[in-house]
Amino acid sequence: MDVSRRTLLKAQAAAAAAAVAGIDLPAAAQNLAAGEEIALKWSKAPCRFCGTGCGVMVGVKDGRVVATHGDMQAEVNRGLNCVKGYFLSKIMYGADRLTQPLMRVRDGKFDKNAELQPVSWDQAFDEMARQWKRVLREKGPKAVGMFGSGQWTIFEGYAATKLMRAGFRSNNLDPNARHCMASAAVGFIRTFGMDEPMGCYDDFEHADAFVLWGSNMAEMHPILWTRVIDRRLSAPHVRIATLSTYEHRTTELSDQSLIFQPGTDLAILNFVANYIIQNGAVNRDFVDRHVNFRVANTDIGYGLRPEHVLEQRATHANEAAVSQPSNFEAYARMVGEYTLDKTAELTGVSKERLLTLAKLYADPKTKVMSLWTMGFNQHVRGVWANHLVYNIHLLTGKISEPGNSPFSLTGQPSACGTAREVGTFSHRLPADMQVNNAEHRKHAEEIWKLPPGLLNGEIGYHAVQQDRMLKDGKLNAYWIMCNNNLQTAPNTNNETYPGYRNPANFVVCSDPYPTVTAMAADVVLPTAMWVEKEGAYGNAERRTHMWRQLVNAPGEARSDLWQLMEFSKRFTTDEAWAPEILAAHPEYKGKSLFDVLWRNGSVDRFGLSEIAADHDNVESKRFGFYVQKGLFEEYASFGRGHGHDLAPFDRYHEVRGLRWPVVDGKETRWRYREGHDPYVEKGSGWQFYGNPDRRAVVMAAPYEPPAEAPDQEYDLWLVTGRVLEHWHSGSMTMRVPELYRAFTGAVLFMHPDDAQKRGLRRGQEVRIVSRRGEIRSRVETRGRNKMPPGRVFVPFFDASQLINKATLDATDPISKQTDFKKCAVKVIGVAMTERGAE
Amino acid sequence: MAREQASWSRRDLLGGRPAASPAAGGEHHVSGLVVHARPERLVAVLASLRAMPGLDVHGDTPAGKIVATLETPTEDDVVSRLGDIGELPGVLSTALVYHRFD
Repeated sequence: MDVSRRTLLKAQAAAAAAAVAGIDLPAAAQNLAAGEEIALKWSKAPCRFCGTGCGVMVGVKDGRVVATHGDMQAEVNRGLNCVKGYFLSKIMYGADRLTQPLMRVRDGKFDKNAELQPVSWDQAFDEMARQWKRVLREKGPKAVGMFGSGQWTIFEGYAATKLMRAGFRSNNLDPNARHCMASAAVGFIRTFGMDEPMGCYDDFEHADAFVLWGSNMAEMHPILWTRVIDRRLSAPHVRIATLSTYEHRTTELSDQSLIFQPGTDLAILNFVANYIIQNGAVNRDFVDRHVNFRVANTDIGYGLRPEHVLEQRATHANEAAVSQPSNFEAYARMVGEYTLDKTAELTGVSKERLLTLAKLYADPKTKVMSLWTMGFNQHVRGVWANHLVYNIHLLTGKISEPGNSPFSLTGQPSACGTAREVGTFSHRLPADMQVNNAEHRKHAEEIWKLPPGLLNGEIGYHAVQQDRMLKDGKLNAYWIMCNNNLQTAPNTNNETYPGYRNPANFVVCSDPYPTVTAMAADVVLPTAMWVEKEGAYGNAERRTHMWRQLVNAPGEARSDLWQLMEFSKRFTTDEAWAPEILAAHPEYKGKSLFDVLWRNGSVDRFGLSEIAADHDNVESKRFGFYVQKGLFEEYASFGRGHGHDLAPFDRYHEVRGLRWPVVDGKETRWRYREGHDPYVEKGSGWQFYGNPDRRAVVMAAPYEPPAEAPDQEYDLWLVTGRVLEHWHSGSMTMRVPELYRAFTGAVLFMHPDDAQKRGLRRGQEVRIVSRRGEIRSRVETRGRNKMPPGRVFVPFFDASQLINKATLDATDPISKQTDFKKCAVKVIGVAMTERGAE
Repeated sequence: MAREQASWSRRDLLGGRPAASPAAGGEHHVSGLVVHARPERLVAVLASLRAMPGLDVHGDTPAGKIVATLETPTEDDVVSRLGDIGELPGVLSTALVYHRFD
C-alpha cells in the first residue's frame, strides 16, 4: 500500500473515532469518502445481539452484507460498537449455514430413529401437519407447544402468539426470555401493574451514582458501560458500586465492589432499606401519597418438580405468588432484622462497604441508577430481588425522574419488544393482558375478529415445565424457534434431552445453524435471519426500532414469520377448533387457519404497493399483502390509548427507534412522572397508573437460602454466564472466525488456592461434576474473572462443553425463571491414565 | 443451494465449525478506536498505547478519552490488540468505531 493511501485511511479512521468521542482533531483529519464506499448501499438496522439495541449501519454489495459500523445517528450507541457488533456482517455467513429443511427419514418415511436428511418444505410441513393433527385429535390443545424467543421480531412473536393461542387454542407458548428476564417482568407487574422500566438510557447522563446488582456490564453491555464511564469521567463526584459473587471486569473498574455469598443480595437489599428507615431518610411525603405496603408469602419452595423433597417441605410452594396488605410499621419491623452486624456476617461483605452503599441511596441529594441483569433474575428469589430494589427507590422517592432510576437491563434484542410487549409467555396476551382474565381474552378475540370464547383461559406450560412435560410424554408436538434450548436449559441431560428423544414426541427446530438443539430435533427448518427479512425489535429502554430486508437468505432458508404463516395454511378450523364453537359460529367453518388469522381484513389490509421500492420483502410477496405492516398495526391496536402507545408503522422506518408510549408523535422518556409522561395528571407529581389506585407496591420479603449449596462432597459454588466475545450459546458468534479465535473454548475460572488444594495446574483438564451430570473443561486461574475461594465460573457458549448438564432446574417459584447462578459441584483432575484410555 | 452433506453428527458441531479464515498475507487493516482511561492514569495509558506496534494516538482529553488508530496485518490482530488495550491498568473501556482493510 502506498504511503498516501495509508495516511488517508488512518486519517479517516481517526476522524470517525474523534467524531464519536466528541474530540476535535487538527483540520487535516477529514472524513473523506473513499471511492469504494459509493459502491455500497447503506441502511440502518439494530444490532442482532443483546438488549442494548445499538444502531448499526449495514453496507450491502452484490446482495451480500460486507460491512457494518456503529450508527452515528443512533442515540443508544452514538457510533460505537462492541467487538461482537463490529463483526455483525459475518454472522450470516458461517460455513455450515442451513439452506434446506432436514427430516429424520428412512425408506422415504419419517422415522424418529433415522438420521436427518434433506427434504423439501412440502415434505417437512406435510409431516409436521400430520403429527400436529394427530396430537390435537388424540390429546387436544394441551399436548401441542412452542418454545420461542426474545430474538424473534415483533411480527414473528405476534404471529406465533396468534397461531398458538387462536389457531391451536393452546397457551403452551413460552419464550427463551423465560430463562433471562421473567423475574424482572413479573417484578414490574407486581410492583407497578405494568411491565418494563420507567426510565431510559438518558438516566446514564443524569445519575450521581450507579449501583450494579448482579451485572457485569463491562463485558455484557459494553456500549452502555461506555456511557456509565463517560459520566463517571466527566463528573468526578460520580461513583460506581458493583455487587457480585466474584470479581470481574466491572468490579475491577468500579469505585467500590461488594463480593457477597451467593443468594445473600436479598439481605443487603433489606439492610439498605433498614438503614434508610433508621436514619430518617424515608421520603414520607412520597411514600404517603404513592406507595402501598404488602408482605409476601415466605418459604415458597424452589420451582422443582412437585415431588422433590424441597417442594414437599415448603409451606407455600403452591401459594408462592400470594401476598397480603401490610403497612409501613410492619415493613420497618421486618427489615429491622437486617442490622449491619447480621448482614455483614451473612453476606461476607465488610461493614464499611455496606455503609458506603447504603449512604448512596439514603442521601437525598444523590441521584441513583440501580442496574441489574442475570444476577438478580436468574435467582430462586429473583422476583423478590426485583421487589427489594424497588422498595429502596420507593422509600426514598428516587424513581421516574432523570438519574433516579431502578433499571432492569435485558440480554436479548427483543426480550422487551417481542417476549414481553407482544406477550409470548404462557400466561400473557399483548399489552400486559393475561390469558386467565376473561375480559382480556374477550378483548383479544374482538381485535382478532374471532368467535367469542375461542381463546383458552388456562395458563400454559412455562419453559422448564415444557421440558418436564416433554419428558413425561404429556407435550407431544413441539416447535422450537430461534433458540438453542438444549444448550441453555438447566439440567439438560436429565430434563431436556430425554423429552426431545421421547418416542411419543415430534420435535421441530427452526434455526439458521445446526445447533445441538437442531441436531436433536426430528425436523430442522432453515431460517432466514436478521437483515434477511424486514423486522422490528424492542430494546431495554422501551425503544421500538425497525429495519428493512437488505439481502436474501441463502438457499431455501425462510424467516420464522414465513414459516408460521405458511404452516397455518395446512389446517382448517374444523381440524383445530372445538366443534361447539364452530356450531355456534358457522361462518368460521371450513376455513383455513391462514384465512381466519391473517386474511381477516386487518392483517391483510395494506397492499404490496406500500413496500419500500428499493427493498425486497419475501414474506409479503409470498402472501400477497404487506405482512409486517398489517401485523404491526393490528398488534398496536392492543396498546394505543392504554399507556402502551406505538407510533404508526411507517414512522419507525424513518427514525432510529422511539420509546413508548408514543403520544401525539412524542416518545416518553420517564414514565409515571408529571411533566414527562402524558398519562400522568397535573398536580399529582407521580402516578403509577398500571395499578388501579395509581400507587406502587413496597413488598416485604426476607432472605431465604438457595436451593442447593456446597457441602462436603460437592464443595464448590458453580456460577454460569457469558463472556464479552460470545453471545449466549455461541450459535452466531462461534461462526465468526475472529470471535471464535478470540475465545475458542469455555474454561473453568477458579481461585489459585482452590486449584492448588486439588493438585490442579492452570490449563489442566478437569471434570466438573454435579449431582446431575458432568462435563470436562480446563482450569483457568488468571484472566478476566477472579473467583473467591469456593466459587467457580463456567461460561455456557461452548457446544463442546455443555455446562448445563451440571446445573440445577430450580426456578423462582413466582416467575418460573431458572437460577443458573447457584448450584454445587466438585472439580476433579483428569488423570493421565484416564486420558490415555480414551 | 443444496448441501452435499446428507446428515450431521454431534461431532460436526463441536467448536461451532467456523467459516474458514480469509487468506492470510498481504492484508492491511486500519481501525479507529475510542479508549476511555482513568484521568489520573492518562499519562501512563498514553505511554503504553504509544509503545504498541502499529498504534498511533491522534488526540486525548483531560477527562480520559483517547482517539487512536491501529494498523495490523490481520483482522484477528484487531481483536487481540483490543483485548490487550482493555487489560492495561487504568483503561475503563475500548470501542471500535471504524475499520477497513485493503
